[in-house]
Amino acid sequence: MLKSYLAFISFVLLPWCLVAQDFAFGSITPEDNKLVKNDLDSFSNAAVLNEYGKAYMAYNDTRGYTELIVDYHVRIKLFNRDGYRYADIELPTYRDESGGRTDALLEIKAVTINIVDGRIVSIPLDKARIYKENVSKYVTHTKFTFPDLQDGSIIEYSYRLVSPYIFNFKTWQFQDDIPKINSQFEAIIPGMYTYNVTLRGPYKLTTQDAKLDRGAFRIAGRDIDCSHMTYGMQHIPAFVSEDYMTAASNFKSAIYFELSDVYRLNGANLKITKEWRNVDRELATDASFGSQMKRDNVFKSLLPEILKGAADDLGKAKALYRYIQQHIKWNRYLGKYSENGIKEALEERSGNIGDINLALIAGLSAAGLDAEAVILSTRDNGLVNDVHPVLTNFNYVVAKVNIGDSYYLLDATDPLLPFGLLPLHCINGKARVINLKKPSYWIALTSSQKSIVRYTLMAELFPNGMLKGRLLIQSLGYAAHRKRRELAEYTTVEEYMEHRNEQLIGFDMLAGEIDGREDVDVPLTERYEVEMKLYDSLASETVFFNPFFLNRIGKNPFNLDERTYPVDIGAVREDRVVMTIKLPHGYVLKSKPDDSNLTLEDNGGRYVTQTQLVGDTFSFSQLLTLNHTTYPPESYFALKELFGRIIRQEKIDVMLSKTNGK
Amino acid sequence: MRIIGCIVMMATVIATYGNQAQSDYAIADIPTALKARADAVVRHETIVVDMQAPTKVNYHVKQAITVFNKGGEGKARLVIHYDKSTVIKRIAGRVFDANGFQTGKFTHRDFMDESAVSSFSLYEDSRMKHFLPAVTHYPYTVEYEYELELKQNLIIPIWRPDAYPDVSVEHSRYTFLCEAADKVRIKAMNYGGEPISEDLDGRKALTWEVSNLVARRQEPYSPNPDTYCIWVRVAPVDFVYYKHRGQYADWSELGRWVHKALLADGLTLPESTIQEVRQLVADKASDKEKARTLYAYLQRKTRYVSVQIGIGGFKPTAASEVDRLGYGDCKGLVNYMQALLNVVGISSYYCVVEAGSAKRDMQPDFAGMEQGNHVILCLPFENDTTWLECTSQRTPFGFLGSFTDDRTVLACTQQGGKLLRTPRYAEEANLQRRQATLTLKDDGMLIGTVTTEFAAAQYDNHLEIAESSNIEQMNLLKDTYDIDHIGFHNIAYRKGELDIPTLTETFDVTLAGYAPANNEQVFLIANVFNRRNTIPVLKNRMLPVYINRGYLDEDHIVFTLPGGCTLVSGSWEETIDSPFGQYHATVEQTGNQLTYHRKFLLHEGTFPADQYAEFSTFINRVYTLDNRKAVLSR
Repeated sequence: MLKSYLAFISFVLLPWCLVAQDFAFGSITPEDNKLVKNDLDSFSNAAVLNEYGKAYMAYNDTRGYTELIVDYHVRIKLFNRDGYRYADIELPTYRDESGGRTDALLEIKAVTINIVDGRIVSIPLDKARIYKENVSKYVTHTKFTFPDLQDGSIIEYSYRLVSPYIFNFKTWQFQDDIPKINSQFEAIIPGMYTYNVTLRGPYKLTTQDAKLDRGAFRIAGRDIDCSHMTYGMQHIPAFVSEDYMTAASNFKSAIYFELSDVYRLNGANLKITKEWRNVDRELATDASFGSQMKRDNVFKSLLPEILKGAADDLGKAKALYRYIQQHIKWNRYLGKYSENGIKEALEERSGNIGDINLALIAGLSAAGLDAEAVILSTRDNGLVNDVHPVLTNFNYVVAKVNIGDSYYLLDATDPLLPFGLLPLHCINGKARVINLKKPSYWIALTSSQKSIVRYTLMAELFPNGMLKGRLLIQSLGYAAHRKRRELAEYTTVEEYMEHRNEQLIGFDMLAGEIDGREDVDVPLTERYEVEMKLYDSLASETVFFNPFFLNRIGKNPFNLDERTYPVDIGAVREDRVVMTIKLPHGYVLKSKPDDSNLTLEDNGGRYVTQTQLVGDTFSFSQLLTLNHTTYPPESYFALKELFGRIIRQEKIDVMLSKTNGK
Repeated sequence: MRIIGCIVMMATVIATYGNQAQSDYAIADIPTALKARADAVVRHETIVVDMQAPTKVNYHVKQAITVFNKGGEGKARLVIHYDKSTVIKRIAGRVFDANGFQTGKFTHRDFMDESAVSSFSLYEDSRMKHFLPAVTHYPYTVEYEYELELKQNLIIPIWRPDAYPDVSVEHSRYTFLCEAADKVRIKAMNYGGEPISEDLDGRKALTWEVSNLVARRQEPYSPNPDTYCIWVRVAPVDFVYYKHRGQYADWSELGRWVHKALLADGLTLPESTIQEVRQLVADKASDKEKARTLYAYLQRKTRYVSVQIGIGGFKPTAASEVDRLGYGDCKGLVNYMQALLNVVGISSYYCVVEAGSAKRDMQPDFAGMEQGNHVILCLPFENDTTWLECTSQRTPFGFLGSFTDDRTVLACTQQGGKLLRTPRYAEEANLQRRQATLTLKDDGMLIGTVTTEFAAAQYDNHLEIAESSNIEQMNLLKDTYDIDHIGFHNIAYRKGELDIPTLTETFDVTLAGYAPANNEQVFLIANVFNRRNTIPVLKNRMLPVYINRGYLDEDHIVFTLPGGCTLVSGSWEETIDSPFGQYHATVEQTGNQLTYHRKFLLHEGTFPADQYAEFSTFINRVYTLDNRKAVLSR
């Protein structure tokens, strides 16, 4: 969340500048040797003693393009065998679709350093034990591990990465899940390239420096000056991941680069990403983006059939949304760009996120509707930079259709989503709306519907403890979406009920029906005849039963002792239970749970239970609302306490006792 | 032949081009019985394994699957694993809608090609190609045809037509073809009748086929699928595998081959290690003590790293390499331990085992190299056979946990292979015994001390917690003792060095708000730490009930109540005696003390299917009693 921006320092000459440099390979210091577990924190089983990286550019005459070269070197101490997993190294490299431009890993060097009887023993890595795993057509993992590990082993490795991908230069991760004593990074950038530089995370740089390297980049027979930046951090704590957290990259300390300008040798300035208006123009003409949005001719022959019976604009939009949902299956690939083109996606009935939602936009436009593209970053991809346009931040696209004064955000990649509801993984900060004719603009991504479940039970309790009645369950929004996903696993309602009955012990659904299984735009309504045993102690004068048998929380989702990140639940939640139970003849209500009314501050949420006795009818209602989608870390204990109180309340029974003589 | 080939091709071209030709895949044609409770139906399946030579086995599959819902989608995905000894010759397929009209087709290039390195490995040379048809409407049918060439005949793909639950089978056929003179061993299980045997121009063909198998449901506590699913295993006597040639007809011959071809040449250690080993055991009197010392040496020096390439899937890394690298996989580490023991003249057996918490035997009467997924070491001391798990730095000497206990394994020795059985711990030995003294505070908090002893299989379950450090340990404890607002302090573990290893865990605990009060009543679930979960209640249990591992739990909790607190819900005692085990629990109050005692013994074994109802009644009754509240009044 914490973000600060480094001013881009170009061509500042600091004559006294200190020179960061790589540490000597394999020669450990007395400090390296002395460091033991718990020196840095109480839980880490390994630590980075020193880490150095240098990234620079070189023009490759043979290939005819500029390459990024990264020299990386790290030294890690493994305190004990739980730390050995940090000795299993996996270095990913990427290849573009054509296979033409590929990352290359060179000069991998690795060594294990042990202290044996006070002597330093180095065991180098055998080159034959470096494995290349071709994970998929785009990714290769180079993998190796270190020989002869012992408690206290120091492992060290270095490599050179030569990459055609200069757009993000080199992201430098200062923070990792083990602590680091020292991490230094040098970025040497030719004057013809300008990058936006972002420092993310809570920690400050301990070294920050810039100087000019004269003529350090050679291209077309000319020597170009380079700006030479040094960034350093010391004593960086380990990053500890926790539950209910969005992407760790939002919080980890790191430096990010994004190419903004390229100055051509002839003096022309090529803006890469500078202003949104430039981005807008590029996206509008991009063959995999704007051009796909414009392909409304693809829909010409289809439209009459799709729009048949659609009365108004909303009806048309719904019909198109439904059509795309049911005609193109998501191939599990993300992306804001269309991978295969929308025509092909429609024909093959398969596509990535870009294919499907850009097809939807083209279809909506073809139907004469006002449709725009919304590019966003999914929850596990982190938040987007809202100062500079950083296109690589965005990994997803959805449609926005404007009808009258309202708009609807649509993701057609999941056939079970109702019209206007984005999947939870899309609800992540801000998104940028790309309009082919107007300037782009930000919108906030919020879930348009709550997650609502309502249980209504009308039942009669018999003296033997058997409860019989009718149960109605209504689910809306994300709750309905979850339930529909579950139902999709079964061909018939009977099979679903049979499965549920097997799992719910002592609770039998005898007959039932479900509405809204197919029509995802209406609430999902389940109606069941139910029967359950509430208590079994017949003999005694008093019986206890627990009224919290519907939608019981049971378990506290918040169980940590400390929390440093927000709790992010994605959508506002509302759970409601209402039951009326006719009490058995010959029994009276002796005691019942006190009414409760708990609230979170700032209208963050509520838990309310109420019981009432009218004649021989016992009525009970329960409401849980969580009104915010995100709670700051300070609210963590209030949330934990709220759920703790709910669990306590759920333990309280109703007590009935036999009436005398009746 | 050529002419027929042409006609078939023409027909395919027309069929795909027209896009409207109807096939035999209309949903309406599926027998009703096969649709009931099925997520998918195998419409037809024809598998032909043609062993043309030991290094050339053609594997040809043609199948069609109808998918009814999302749950059946996994069955529609075709996944083909391959490696250096498997060549994919061709893959193609077509997709049909509910009425049997073709809606699409796909070829080799539509498949995604990915590495298939297991999560436990650093590297393997195994890869896979997979494809899932892009269909959003159910039901639909997908038809596949593919052909593989296996460059080995040590492992012939098994036929398992009904291996998947919730999938019914309209028809499946498996044919094995070889030269008339080829010696092959065959074992079929749960297959009624004999295969059809044919003579095809001097070659022999054996065919098994099944039709109209209704979908079987996945049932909890079910036995090894090998005992109820149909399968046919084929094992040629003369085989070639990655340039290794051999022959076997039984476990003895297979074990001898493994020893000779894969183990014998990899047991040499460098001189320095030999000297070190001799020194280490110099002052140890017995072989067992020597072995214990060397096992500690192994655990200190090595760790588990899995790399599987080619013959390396079966052949261990040489002991000298493990010695130099300080790591290896199960084979490499067992082989290394064997080499260490050889130095001091202690004999040991390299044993192949099917590891996993479910106990699985090697097929006693059918030797096959495809059986087993792990290797352990057996030390045949007289009357004191000792077993070593060599991949763990934590396991005590001589202890096999629930990963490899109580099952037959193949010992590969110079004298030949033999089936041995790993030790079984008695139900009562798999013990968890807990003593807790807790004080109930006025605000509903429980505070006190808990001491728990874990033995044998239960030791295994908790060793990881004992060995982990601060935050990890706390998180693991919270997973194990999953109670709201639980707090742990003064956590300590002590290991017992007996024949059956034990672990004693102690901690101080706080449970804020555990026993809430309402209307002068306090609600306390006396079984704080060990509540049994429910199991499904099934109407038509088909399979026998199989309980893999028995155990004994004892919980004894003494609560000190606030002054004037009395138990209004009454003391109680419940005893259940069932064929599956015993349960006994009591709650009683004496003065200001409330005592809870629970004893639960689960028997292991196999029980008839019709006893499942009794089993689920037993377990679910235990669940109810475990959650019973003591109501106190203040």
